[in-house]
Amino acid sequence: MRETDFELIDRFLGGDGAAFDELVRRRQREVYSLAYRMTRNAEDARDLSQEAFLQVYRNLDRFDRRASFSTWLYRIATNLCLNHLSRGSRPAAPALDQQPEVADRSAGSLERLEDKERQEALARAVETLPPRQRASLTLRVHHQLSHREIGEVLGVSEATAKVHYFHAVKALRAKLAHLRQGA
Amino acid sequence: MRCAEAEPILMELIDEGSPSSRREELLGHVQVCAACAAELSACRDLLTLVQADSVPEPSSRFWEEFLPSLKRRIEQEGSGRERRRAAWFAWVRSWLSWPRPLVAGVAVAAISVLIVVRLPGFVAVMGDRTKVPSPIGRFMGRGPEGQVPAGDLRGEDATSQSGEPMVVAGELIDDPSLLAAAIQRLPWAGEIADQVEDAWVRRPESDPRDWLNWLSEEDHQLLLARMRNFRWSPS
Repeated sequence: MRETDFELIDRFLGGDGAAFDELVRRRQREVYSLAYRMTRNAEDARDLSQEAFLQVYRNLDRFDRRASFSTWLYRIATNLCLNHLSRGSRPAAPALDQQPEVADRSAGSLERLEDKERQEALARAVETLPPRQRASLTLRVHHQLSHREIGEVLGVSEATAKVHYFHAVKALRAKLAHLRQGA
Repeated sequence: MRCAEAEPILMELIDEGSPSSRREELLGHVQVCAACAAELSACRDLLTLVQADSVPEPSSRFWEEFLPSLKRRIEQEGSGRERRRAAWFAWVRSWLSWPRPLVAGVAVAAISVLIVVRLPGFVAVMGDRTKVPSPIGRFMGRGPEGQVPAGDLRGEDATSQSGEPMVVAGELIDDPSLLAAAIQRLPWAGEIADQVEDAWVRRPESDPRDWLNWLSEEDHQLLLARMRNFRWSPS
């Protein structure tokens, strides 16, 4: 049977380094995904997600388990991303080791191009959101956290977390209204 | 239910984590109001677009290297701490190799300087509780004498009149998220940005200048001191 996060943490604190490796493997993609959506930069996302696990490694003996390990990890990763954004982020860079794009002339390519343009417009609009709104939106839509959990991650009340989320949607709605009008 | 009541809570129909006590009433309104129905549909389409936003998948080599690279950083950090500790001990040992009277004399001189320079300021702050900074003040720092510049961002010094658009650093502020975003570009001011945003939530019909009234006088003066590069100007 698969070990729980707390069981892995107990094993790690008992001296088994492989337990930490397992914790990382389980969460590395979602942490990277969060960091990428916050920064829109693959290199920064890699560095921030590694830094998040580094902080977990340093502080696992002080984790009080009042929240789930997942919420605690999200809190660390989100705070790192928010600090990074407050220092001024680099422009978006292509994903690491990505394959180069080839022109698509197949059937349905125009529709795919329009989808691609809509996604790019969305990405640009998301980048203009205040960081906490961006975090609330990402954690709610892409990581399915509840508003209460998002509040714990951001260190705010559930109501404030909800407000951040609704404001984010409203702001995106205003910025992307032209897409709908052109449809 | 009128549109003005329905519009702010439309999202609660889509967001399953927000059960609304007025859900039935809201649904009834959307069924008869084309504008609110269209807005609800637009929000649903937007969230579908957001959900479809994917993260470019790194190569398999990226993931193969992720954990080994992390472990190297952990090892480097551990050996870096060891080197710094060894260097500190070596520095302390170099002091102890001096003649003892000289070491004792230098220590006494250093402590005396510390007392003469630092103690008066420390005692003054402890004696005067009005100089103890607020939580935001501690976070943002204050001037060398604990003072903040005079001035008022809320309008008494401003050249703009009530009713004119609010312009900060050449940018028209007609939404709290823009003001909050401008404040959040200052690395110390996330807390203040949240307060501004919460103020608008409580009274969305209010004048943007009122959002700043939610700050305490002390936090307001600190914000003014730090935002000296932002100019208050008429549109």
